[in-house]
Amino acid sequence: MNPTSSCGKFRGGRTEIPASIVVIDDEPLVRWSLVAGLRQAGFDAVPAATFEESSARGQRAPDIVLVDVRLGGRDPVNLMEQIRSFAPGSRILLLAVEGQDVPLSGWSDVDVIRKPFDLAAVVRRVEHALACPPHDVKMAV
Amino acid sequence: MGLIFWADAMTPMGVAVPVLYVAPVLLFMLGGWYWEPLVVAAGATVLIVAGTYLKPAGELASPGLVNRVLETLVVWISAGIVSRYRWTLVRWAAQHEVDRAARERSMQRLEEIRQALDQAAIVAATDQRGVITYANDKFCEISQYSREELLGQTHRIINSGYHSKDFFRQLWTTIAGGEVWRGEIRNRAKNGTFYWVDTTIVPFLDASGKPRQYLAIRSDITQRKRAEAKLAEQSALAQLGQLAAVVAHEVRNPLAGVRGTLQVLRSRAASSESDRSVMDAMIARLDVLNNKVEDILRFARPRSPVLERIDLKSVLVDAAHSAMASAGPSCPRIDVPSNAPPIVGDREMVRDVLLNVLLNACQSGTSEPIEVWVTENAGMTVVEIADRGAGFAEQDPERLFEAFHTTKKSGTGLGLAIVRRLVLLQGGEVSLLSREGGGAIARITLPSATTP
Repeated sequence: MNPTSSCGKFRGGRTEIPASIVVIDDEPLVRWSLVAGLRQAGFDAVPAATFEESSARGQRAPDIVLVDVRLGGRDPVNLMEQIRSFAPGSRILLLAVEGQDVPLSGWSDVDVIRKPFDLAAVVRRVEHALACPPHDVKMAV
Repeated sequence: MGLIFWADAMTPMGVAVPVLYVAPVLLFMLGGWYWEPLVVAAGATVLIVAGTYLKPAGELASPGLVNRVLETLVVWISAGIVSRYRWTLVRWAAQHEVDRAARERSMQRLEEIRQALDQAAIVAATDQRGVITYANDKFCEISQYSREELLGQTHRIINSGYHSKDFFRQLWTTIAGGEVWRGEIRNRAKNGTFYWVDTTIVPFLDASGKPRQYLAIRSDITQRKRAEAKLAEQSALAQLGQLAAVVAHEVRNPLAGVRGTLQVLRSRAASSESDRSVMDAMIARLDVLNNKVEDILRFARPRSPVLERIDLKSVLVDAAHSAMASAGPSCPRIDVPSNAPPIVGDREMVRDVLLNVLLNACQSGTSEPIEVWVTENAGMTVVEIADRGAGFAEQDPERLFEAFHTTKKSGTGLGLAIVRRLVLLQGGEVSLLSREGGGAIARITLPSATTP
């Protein structure tokens, strides 16, 4: 699961305007640790417990949506469509528990981060997603 | 008879003459048919009457005639007795013949039934103390003991240790009380493998009503038992799989939060060096916990294998390196054969299986090299991993493959259970054997790659 850097190097974040990330997960500690970890890495990360909370708050569409694949017991496909309509230009990174099925065969530009995660690895995946155009990201299930 | 007639005619013998005529009649006591004395008597009568008229003229006709009537009566009475005797003898012989034939027929029928039974069932007879007095071919075949080895022994020789003492006590109480016992028994053959028999034991009682011998009629139900066990295991595993998936999800989600939070806290400048090492230890424990959850999931809910042709040699070498790396310096040398045929399996699963078994061998507490042998047999490739370690104390090696059966202090007791699960999923088999001279051999059988 080593993201290839063939699609260019990420240059944003720390020096210019930081990339914005919304972290949506029902588990408070997951949310908190991801936001804190990403902020430490220089990103503009905001937490949201529910999808509605994040869409109500957003002034501008985030660069990345980091979202639990079964957020609030939703169907993943349904969830993806909602995010797409709410933030069409955002890259989506899904959070799924190790071993959990992610039934998204049609969404080839979606990356999956497995829980439990290592924060450094999450940061690498986020940087990779920002650096690569959507169609280059392969889904890693 | 002519001689007797001549004597009768020539001499005035009086009452002594009938004795002469009775003699030939009595001769038939020794042989011939029961009606022949009567013919002789008739002949004698004719001669006696003829003799009366042929007597020399000097004799008185009248007393002679009276005499001759008595003679004839004596001859006929003795003929009657002899023929009656003969007739009884003949009748008795005929009856005897009928009885003998009937007995022979029933013996033959019994023999046929025995042959049929011997063909159909495992048959053994024991005396009242349970000592084997008869064992048929099928019994020898399934138990792998020769007849000589079985006769004179009790059934303890094939006891598998599976059933409780109470089970056998109840069996003995039943048959010693003269009742038929029926049940299913797991026995152990000479080479240590197990077989199941459906058993009926019939006690045969002596005149006083005490068992004289027991006849055990058994049929091999190993296949059925295996299928039943497999079904039960599958349904149990399916339930366990569902349960494990739910629990794993419920555990891993908060686990992810805790681990991530610890990482954030650890990276904060405020924390001291000692705090950081504690947090590192916590993160390490969480990873161990996550691996255990992973183990349970892999056992209860393995993914479907992706079967492909794989190079056994390279997987073996890979697994051996990993085993030596993770077992550390305590692991002895692993001798991998220089050649191994290609097999059909799931590369990752085969590697997992070999690694697990090699690690067990590494941890068996031996400094002698671990040997790996690869052989091919009837479309299957057999990989044997042999160590000179402590071996296993378990009488029944099958139990070592049961989930949560562990002899180690640490570990989930799932290692060998996962090994067996993965091997079965790939259409193979795995067993553990005691090695002669100490140690254990793990035998993994996987399908060979047939086409080049």
